[in-house]
Amino acid sequence: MRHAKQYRRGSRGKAALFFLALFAFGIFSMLLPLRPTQSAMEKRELAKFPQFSVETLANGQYTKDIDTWFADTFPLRDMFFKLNSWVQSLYGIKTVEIVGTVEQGDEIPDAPFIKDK
Amino acid sequence: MVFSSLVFLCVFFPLQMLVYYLARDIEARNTVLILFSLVFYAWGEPFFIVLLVFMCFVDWGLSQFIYKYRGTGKSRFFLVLGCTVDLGLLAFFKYTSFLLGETHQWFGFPSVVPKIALPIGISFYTFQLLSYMVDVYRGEVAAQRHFRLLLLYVSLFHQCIAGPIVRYKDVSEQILSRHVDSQNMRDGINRFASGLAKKVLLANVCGSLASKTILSGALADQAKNLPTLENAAALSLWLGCFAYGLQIYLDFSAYSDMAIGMGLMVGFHYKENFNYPYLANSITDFWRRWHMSLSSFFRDYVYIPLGGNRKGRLRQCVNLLIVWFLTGMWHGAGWNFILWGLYYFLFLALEKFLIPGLQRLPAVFAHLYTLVVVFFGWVLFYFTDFTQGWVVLKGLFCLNGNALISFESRNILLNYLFFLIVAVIACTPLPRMLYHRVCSSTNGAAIALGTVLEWCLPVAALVFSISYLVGDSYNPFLYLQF
Repeated sequence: MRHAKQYRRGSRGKAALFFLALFAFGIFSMLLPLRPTQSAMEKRELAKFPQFSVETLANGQYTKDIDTWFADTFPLRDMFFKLNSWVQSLYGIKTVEIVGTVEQGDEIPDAPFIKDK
Repeated sequence: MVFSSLVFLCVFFPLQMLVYYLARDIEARNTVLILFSLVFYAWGEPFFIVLLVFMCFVDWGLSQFIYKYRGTGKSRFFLVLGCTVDLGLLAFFKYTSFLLGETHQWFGFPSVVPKIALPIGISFYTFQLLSYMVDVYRGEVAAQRHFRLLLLYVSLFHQCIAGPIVRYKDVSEQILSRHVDSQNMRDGINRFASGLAKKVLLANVCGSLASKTILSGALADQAKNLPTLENAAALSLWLGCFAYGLQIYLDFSAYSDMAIGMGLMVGFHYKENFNYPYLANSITDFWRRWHMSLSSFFRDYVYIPLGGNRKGRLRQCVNLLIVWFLTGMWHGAGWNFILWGLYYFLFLALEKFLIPGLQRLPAVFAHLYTLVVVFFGWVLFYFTDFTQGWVVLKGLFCLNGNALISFESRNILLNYLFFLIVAVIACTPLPRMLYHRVCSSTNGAAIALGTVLEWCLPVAALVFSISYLVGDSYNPFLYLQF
């Protein structure tokens, strides 16, 4: 009986902590002054809140652009970037990191190329 | 909207939970769920929300007649009418472009192939509506008298766009009355958080690795991709196909986990959709563990009504062929999906009729055989362009004149080595077993550790997932083709 009570109390505490974190992120993400407009790390201007139009609303572009703006200008984005980079650094053994798609390069010439005079 | 988006995690979901629990009675709570579900769907498909509501309205109206005239020919007539409307709309939106593309290629007609947009989740909610009408026809459940409650069942954002395919009879009572105790809430949080981490931290990275190594697989990219694929080292191709196999399981099961978790948080109990399919010891066993809500749908609404195994071996074989042809088609409008379904038909028929002993192989060989069949099945599934698929298939065995290991492929393997080990472990029950072992231990230190894990892991999953979503733009939605 005592164990069941403790378990229930533990479950409530867990739910409280999880929803506290969820709501904290929710409120934090809505603090517009904290949203950056430029990224010093990436050296670029971040996405802007989209202009409303009936056409973009109807074809889904408006909500898609809000998603982009919301993620791109997330408060403390540089901190989250660093956290994500740290997680990525644990993926494996870093020798040389392959970024992007590996495509075939130009062939290496096997003889010296002599320009016509 | 998708579960793994920041707008969903930071705005939609907390707001929905807050408003849901501020609502006093079940009526108000159902209204909250309907409104939020419509916004959820309309966020990604502002136009096709009309189609969802229309199909639901038609089926609601027809189901009243199916129920009223149950046991008579009229009931059957209304059922056939409802199925024709639903399947007709599904066929129109999902297969018209594909079929006209084929006739254009072979006969030059039509001169221009129309591009018809595929409404998100149409395959899932159509099947839900079909199961509802058939169950009403069979007398297994009464027709829902209130349109808004049927709309709640069909549009409920937990399962509307990516499953599991929830049967109306499984939730009909929960729509009217449901209760959430602390155990449900705890389990719901665990399922949601683990699903979120699985999708964002594991599946997305697997997807990124697959697209890096075996590229897009799409016909439109053929000219661009072929030279790279022809020269890619075998190791790189093995890694890509392997990563895709991991991605599709982790991604799909993660969505089901999140749906089940969110359902538990508001009192809905959805059935499991995956049961560690990569531990299967035969293809038959694999399909008992993979996308169980789809397999059971085809079993109950196609295979058994066709006669199942009750009308002789030949008829059983034909029934299986029909089911697997449809299973392939359901996954996408493309020949590779149809062939993928027939590929599984071959192995299932092989296990059932020709070599039943396959299922009695020693465990190691049985698992190995299953994994090899499933692996090459995913290769077929991935490449909508057969030319690229064939090049990759040959490249896996160095038959393109490609190297076994190259500098890049070795580096990619090393760069992702620990991640791949974690992703493989995540496909097994090991993490869950370990977690339960720690949390249920009576040892003093284990209790403390268990409590910390129990409380902190869901929050950690949330924080790391948000950091990934802020810091990485690769977040695909695999179910668009379904």
